[in-house]
Amino acid sequence: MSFAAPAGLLFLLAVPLLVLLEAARRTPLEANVSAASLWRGLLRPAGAGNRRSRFALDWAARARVAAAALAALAAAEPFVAGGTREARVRIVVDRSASMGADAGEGRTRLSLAIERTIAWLASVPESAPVLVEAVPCGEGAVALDAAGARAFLAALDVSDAPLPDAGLVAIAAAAPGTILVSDRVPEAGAPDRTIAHGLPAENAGFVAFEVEPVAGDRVKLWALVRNSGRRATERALTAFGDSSLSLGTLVLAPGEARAVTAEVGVAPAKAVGLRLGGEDALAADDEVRALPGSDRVRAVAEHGTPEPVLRALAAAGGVSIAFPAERGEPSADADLTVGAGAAEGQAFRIRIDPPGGAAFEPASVRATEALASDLDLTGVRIGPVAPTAAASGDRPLLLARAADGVEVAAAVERDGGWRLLFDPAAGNWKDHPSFPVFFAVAVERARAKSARFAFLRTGEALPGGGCVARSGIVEGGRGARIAANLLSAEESSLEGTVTAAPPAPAPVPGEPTPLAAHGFALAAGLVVVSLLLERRR
Amino acid sequence: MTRRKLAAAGGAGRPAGTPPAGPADDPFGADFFAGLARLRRRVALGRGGGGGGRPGRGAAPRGVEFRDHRPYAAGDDVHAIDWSVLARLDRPFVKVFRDEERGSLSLLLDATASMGFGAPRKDFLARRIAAACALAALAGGTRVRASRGGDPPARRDFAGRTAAPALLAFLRAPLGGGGAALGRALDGLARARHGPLLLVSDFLDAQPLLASLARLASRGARALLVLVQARGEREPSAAGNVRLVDAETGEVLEGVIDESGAVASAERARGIEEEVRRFAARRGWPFVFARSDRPFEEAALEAIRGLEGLR
Repeated sequence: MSFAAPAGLLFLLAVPLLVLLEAARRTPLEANVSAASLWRGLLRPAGAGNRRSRFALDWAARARVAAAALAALAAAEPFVAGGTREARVRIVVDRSASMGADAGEGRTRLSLAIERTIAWLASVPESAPVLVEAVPCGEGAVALDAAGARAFLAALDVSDAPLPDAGLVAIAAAAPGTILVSDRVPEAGAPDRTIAHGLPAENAGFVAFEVEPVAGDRVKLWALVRNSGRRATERALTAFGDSSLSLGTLVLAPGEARAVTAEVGVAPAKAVGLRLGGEDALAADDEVRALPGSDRVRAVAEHGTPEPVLRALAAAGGVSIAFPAERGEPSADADLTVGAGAAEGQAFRIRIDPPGGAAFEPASVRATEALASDLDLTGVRIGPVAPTAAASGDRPLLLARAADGVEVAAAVERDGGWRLLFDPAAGNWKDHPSFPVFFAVAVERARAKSARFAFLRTGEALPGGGCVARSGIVEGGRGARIAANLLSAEESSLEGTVTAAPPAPAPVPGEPTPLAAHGFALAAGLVVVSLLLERRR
Repeated sequence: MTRRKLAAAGGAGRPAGTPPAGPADDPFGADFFAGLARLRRRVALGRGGGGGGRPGRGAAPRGVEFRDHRPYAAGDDVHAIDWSVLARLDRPFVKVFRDEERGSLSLLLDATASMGFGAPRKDFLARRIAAACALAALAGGTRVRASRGGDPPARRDFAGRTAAPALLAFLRAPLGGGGAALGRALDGLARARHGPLLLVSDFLDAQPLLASLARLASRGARALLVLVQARGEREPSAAGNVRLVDAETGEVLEGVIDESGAVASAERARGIEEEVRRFAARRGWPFVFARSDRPFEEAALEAIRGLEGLR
């Protein structure tokens, strides 16, 4: 035991004084006896006798003296040294895409790194605590023993997500003594590392990707391909959409980057993208793709939009409705425009103009077909209904029965768009089941016609939580399907280094155990005991 | 040292100046009667199986001068019933003869304050021994003149089994007074000749008491001496700084009790035993030593047998 404040031991000098005071204050125990004759002449005068008996204390006094001694010792802040304990080992494994690069002999960089890390763990005592974490897209640090850590590492798999150097620096600085298992060396604060396999490898991959809609159902694809290897590479390039289109062979010199473009058709629920054929060390960046359709259809409701129409659009789901301040100023990037006035020919917009001319009160509305999703909703207007309103070439969408019993087209598909020939808020159509269906189909059509192609990068957070670890179709958000692509120049670089494994961690001094609180508590307890003993006297 | 331990050494643990109280617990509880039953069986066995409750022959000797009648009490010898009186009065009476002196027992119980000490108290054991002997006498047709040596003194006669409850109530009386009261009670008994004497005491005021007994002995009296001491008087322990107050005289002793003092006090207590034992032996009297922490049956049996030897 040692003392953090040895000066407190000086209080022990008061203990002998306390013994003297206790001996001096001893009050005689009063009691009746059967006969004084049994004791007469046998009592020694108080204070006489040998030194030992003179200072003999009763148990209450002894308790108080002991309490004072304990309090004096506690004032000196005693502590017991913590000895040594096994050092905690922290291992952070880089499972970013570059760790999936071929390391030869059928192994990837990650599998080779894990092999060497597991071998290094043999030098760690089995009982030593091990903190293991995989980044990116990991579930956080996991506390295990050596055996558990080996099992954890063996189950790790590479991801398609990038890990920027800044992330590595942060990991290295987070805790000293961190074992970083990676193929890259952070410039600042290099921690101990085990395994970094940086054999020069051949790799060409996409480092940028964009999709631009063009007329009709076609999109223009643009990508940047870079050869990150040290040798020239020849890779077959293919574009895909509603069909595959070979773009020939791409020949890249070491370090060369080249832009590629292609135009493909869009098919619903089918991805569009580019693909590099052949094999190289890193497959994660050999394909980029996107899915048509956006997460939400952007609708603009202009002045005069009937309320039932707004409710129907909102009920369709996935629609964000905006109300522009200026009447007649359509939103340039809206998927749907509902209301008065619109310019002709704007792609992928539905416009419902306010009624004009004679009022029309349809006695009933009948859909001529099931409003299939492949209908083109370009340009829908509302106008007076006349028996001749349905011009040749119009494809009727809704039929209404007039008062005289004649069926007339109430909505037609015309010029690539949908047109309502009456006020949708008037009459009884808004109570008909076909009413919300009509507008839900319109929303889906607008979604399919949307010019925006959304995609996520691997490593990014998903809208509903989680991390995009793999490229491919990912279900996220409100069930919208989005594709995740790898677009990381860093991860496409396969330069790496090899370092030696660090030595086994040495035991570290344990935490000292302070005893002052215990000492004071014991002293207080002894004081209570002495009071109880005094009461019993 | 706690008051309880000091009580074992001779102190009762009560603050000085507090008058001694009566028995905290009834000495004649259920366990006493259970012990009494066991005692009776042992006494009967000792007599060869004879009943211990019936008066039997010899309780009222024949041919002795007739003195008086007294009402028949349960347990009296039926041969002593005067049938002519029964015929006349239609109520049974027994004859009382002159030689009834041999059919009586004088009992003197030390009820001074010093008897109230010990753990258990000395008077607890003393009352039980006295009651056992007296009840045995009553059951055997012997009259009992019981006296309490204390403050206030008391004396009362008991006869027949029906007197047992009254006898026990008499023996339950609280303690009080000092050795002088006991001496006066003893002198009172000396003036009236009533058969053998049973004295149950702690003999702490030994000299005056033995002097009174010596006077009794000179007149031909016979006595059974029962000395009662507490374990704490025989085995005291060191108590440190103390202020002792004599419960009877109020004398105060202050000082420190150490090991040597405790040993010397124990020697004094044993000295009292030796002195009383020698006194009794010189006069051919039976002597019984009893410790308050031991069952009463052994001492009571020894006393009953001693009394039988005296008759």
